[in-house]
Amino acid sequence: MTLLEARALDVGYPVAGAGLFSRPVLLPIVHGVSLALHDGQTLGIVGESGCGKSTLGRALLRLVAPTGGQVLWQGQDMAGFSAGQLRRMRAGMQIIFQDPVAALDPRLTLGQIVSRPLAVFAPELTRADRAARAVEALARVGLSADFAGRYPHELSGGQAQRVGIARALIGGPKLLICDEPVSALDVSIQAQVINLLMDLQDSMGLALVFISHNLAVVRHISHQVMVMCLGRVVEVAPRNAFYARPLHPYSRALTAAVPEPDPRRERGRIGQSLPGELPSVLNPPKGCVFASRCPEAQPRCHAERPELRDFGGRQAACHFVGE
Amino acid sequence: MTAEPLLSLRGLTVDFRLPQGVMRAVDRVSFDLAPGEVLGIVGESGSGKSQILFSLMGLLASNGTVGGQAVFQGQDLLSLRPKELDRVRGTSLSMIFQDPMTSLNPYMRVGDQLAEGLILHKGLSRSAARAEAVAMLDRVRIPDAAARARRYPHEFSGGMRQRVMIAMALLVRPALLLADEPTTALDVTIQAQVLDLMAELAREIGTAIILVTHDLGVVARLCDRVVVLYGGRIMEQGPAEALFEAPAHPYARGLLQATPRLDEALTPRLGTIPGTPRSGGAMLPGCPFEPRCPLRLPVCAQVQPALTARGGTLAACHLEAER
Repeated sequence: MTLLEARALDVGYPVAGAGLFSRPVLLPIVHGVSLALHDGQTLGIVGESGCGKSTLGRALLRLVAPTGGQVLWQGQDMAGFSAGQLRRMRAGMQIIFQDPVAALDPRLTLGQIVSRPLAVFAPELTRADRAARAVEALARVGLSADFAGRYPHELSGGQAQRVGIARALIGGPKLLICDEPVSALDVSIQAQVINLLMDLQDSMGLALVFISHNLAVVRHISHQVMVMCLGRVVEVAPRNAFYARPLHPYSRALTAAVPEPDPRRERGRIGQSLPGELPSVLNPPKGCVFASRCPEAQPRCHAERPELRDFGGRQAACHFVGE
Repeated sequence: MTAEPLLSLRGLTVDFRLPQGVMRAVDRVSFDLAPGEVLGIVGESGSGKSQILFSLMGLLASNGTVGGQAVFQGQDLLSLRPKELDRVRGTSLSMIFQDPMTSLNPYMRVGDQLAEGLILHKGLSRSAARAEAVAMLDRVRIPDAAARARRYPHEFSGGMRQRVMIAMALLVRPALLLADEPTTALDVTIQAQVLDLMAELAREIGTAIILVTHDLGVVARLCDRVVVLYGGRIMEQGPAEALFEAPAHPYARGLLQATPRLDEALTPRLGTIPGTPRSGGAMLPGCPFEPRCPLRLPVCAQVQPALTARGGTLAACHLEAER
């Protein structure tokens, strides 16, 4: 079943106008993104800073209101949701963040932090019920019951992220939006958290939206991969097809830039980097978002923006794919 | 090593006085660096990798004390008077940091910041120093260098700021460049550019580099030799090829297995290292990795293993020595 769907979603933020007294203007961040996510599946969203991946994640949860398009939760348009419906929807759809320590209130015990969502999602529960559920949720992420009485400052980064996951799980969600959940963690801890998310997906049938700049991590955890650049989707493909042969030149540049722990291979990649920088969000190009850096760019790429096109089960936004 | 080493660390120790007692961050670290060699120091948070660089530059926090020797071009950096150390730092020893924005003076034009070192340490006139600064900015591929030199740091992108830092560090043509996570804050395609630039300039000027990072891929791309640090001690060191292909220490193996990569078949689960990285605390009598080591022996908690030759590397582990 389609759990979550976005149709031509636009998101923007108001920013100060040019003059001191001019009215705020809307700065578009995400342009026309469509996606569909099924039960138990993982959609990986990759892109560099400023590509709009985190803003998209927040708009899917309606933590920011879209400026255009629709988000459908289990087939229903969220725009029409009452406050009560939004609350119920959010019990089924939670988010975990990049900085696991900053996401926890330092004055509350972990038991209080983890059980807090129940005050909203299940206000009928007694205090004892809530505490018991918190211990259950902590156990699910591999933390023993005595963690319930501890405070966030006593945790390592990996433990704090586990607590963040426990809090997200307590309402019994169907979908977890993970916004760079392992970027702040050490390699050995990152692997623990990724394994945990995959185990939880298996045991609870969770769907995941996994937002990350790390292409190797996304490959490991995703069923479907979406590449964003300057607020637009440039490629969407099933995981294996994507990594076997990325179609968009930007996807190829990204995968080629990732350094691997293999000195023999890496030596040969010195001097291969792609020059230039991506254009600013404040001054987006008229044509393809990648045209200014693309080694294969033609005059048409600068003049005309390519639409996402189908290439047998996958899509890419490039004038010259398949030629 | 046949040639005289450029830098020779012998028993380098860094202690911090904390309210709860003395914390040893770096514990008797010894290694040699040849002129022009690129050495990577890898480790997780709390391994002491950055403190090694800070101690060489005389930049330890005020509650830190340093022991041992660090002989650089014939003089012990650790026993120099501040004035003498200043001269070394201005002429033959440079450092770049993870966050270029906080290392640049926000009130000073970029060109003037670069020229300052040449005026102070090389006795150049203001106009000659400015001309060299612009030439160097051009060399690190800052577009329109002459105009850019008159701009302030906030007018540069993150990747360009790091290139400005590299320009500043290499302007005096130092014999040794210390780089503390120089690409960690950068997007992957910009990281590739900065690594290319470091490799190219180091070769051209003959500068040796000590690169501190948590990213094994970055080490593989840039480094000739690798030191793997855990809990302030060297676990393993050796040529990059040998260490990545056949790591002898369980920690080095664990790190490699926990790193998801694009160039290998997918495994259902990532390898993990149980527990969390050791940070601070009292000195252990045995191996600092013992509490997390899947292969630990009774002796590991009691006796610190010495670095001994295995295959192509040196590793500090009781286990391998017994085989």
